[in-house]
Amino acid sequence: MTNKHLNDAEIQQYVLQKTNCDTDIIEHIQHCRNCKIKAEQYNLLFEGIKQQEKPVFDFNLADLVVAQLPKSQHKVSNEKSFFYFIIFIAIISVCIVFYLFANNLLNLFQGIARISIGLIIITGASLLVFLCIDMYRTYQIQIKTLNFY
Amino acid sequence: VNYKNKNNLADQLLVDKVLHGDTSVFKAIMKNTEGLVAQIIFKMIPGVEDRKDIAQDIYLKTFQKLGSFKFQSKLSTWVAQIAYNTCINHLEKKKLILLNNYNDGEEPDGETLEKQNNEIDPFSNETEKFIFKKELSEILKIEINKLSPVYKILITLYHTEELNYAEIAEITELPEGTVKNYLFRARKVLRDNLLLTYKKEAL
Repeated sequence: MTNKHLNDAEIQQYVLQKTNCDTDIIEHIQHCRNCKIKAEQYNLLFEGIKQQEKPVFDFNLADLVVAQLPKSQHKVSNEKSFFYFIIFIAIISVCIVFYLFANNLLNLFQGIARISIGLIIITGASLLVFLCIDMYRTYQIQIKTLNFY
Repeated sequence: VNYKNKNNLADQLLVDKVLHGDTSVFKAIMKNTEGLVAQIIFKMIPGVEDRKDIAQDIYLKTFQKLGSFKFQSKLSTWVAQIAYNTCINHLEKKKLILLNNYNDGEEPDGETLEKQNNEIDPFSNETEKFIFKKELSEILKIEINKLSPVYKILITLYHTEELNYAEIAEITELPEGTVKNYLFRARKVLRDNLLLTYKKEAL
């Protein structure tokens, strides 16, 4: 058993999680009047907080909010359809370009040294990553400004 | 927190219905979460007239963002998170203090502790204990209101709403360790202030 008085953290732990508490702490509290009083004070405090009256709105919040809602919400499904439509158009466009200009595209790259192709790809990829990061940051700033969430 | 149980299924059912256009089901979501939202608003927003607008704002945001809810937590926790953030934004706009720098002071040594407890021991006999318990509710209400909004809400979520540290951390977006630390400090400040008030009233 520890002879030194317990600190507030230990006493709070004793009151809130007696089962997980160190045996030294439990034994000390059983034998020390001061720490026992302190633990009882915390106990009473927690009981008091638990028994505090729960606040209630003095108006019908549900009616007020529901009255402001649109009759039906297809926003999410519309957004999804639009997203799939864009993806579909993008894939079709790429396929058409490859179908029509496959030979020309291959010839285009045959005339360029491999190192140049590598440089073009790296530059393109870096630019794409940079633009994506920038777009994401702008999006976050705009959402924050809108105070949407 | 990976939350998968029958409450989660009930949440999913409600959310699906609202997303498929049945806005009347949103009332059920509101009924399930209104108590927790009221606690957050009442504890964080001092202006009575602001509370009505903020409460509506919270649920309108919830409705608009419902499609993005991923069921990673309870629906009530997610709504509470929106409520907490809305209140924080409101307090920041009004430039109100979110967190006071309470001076915890040093732990008193044994002798001082004994002296303090002898001076302020509300449990020296059963009658005093009974009177103290009766007065406690009123004094406590005042003392809780004196705490900063963040401390107030942490105390309420843990002790009144009986949420665990992980859920509180999710609502407040604070690390779990910070939640525990703030809660410890808030309880200590409350206890010290309560004893001080009791001592003053006893004199």
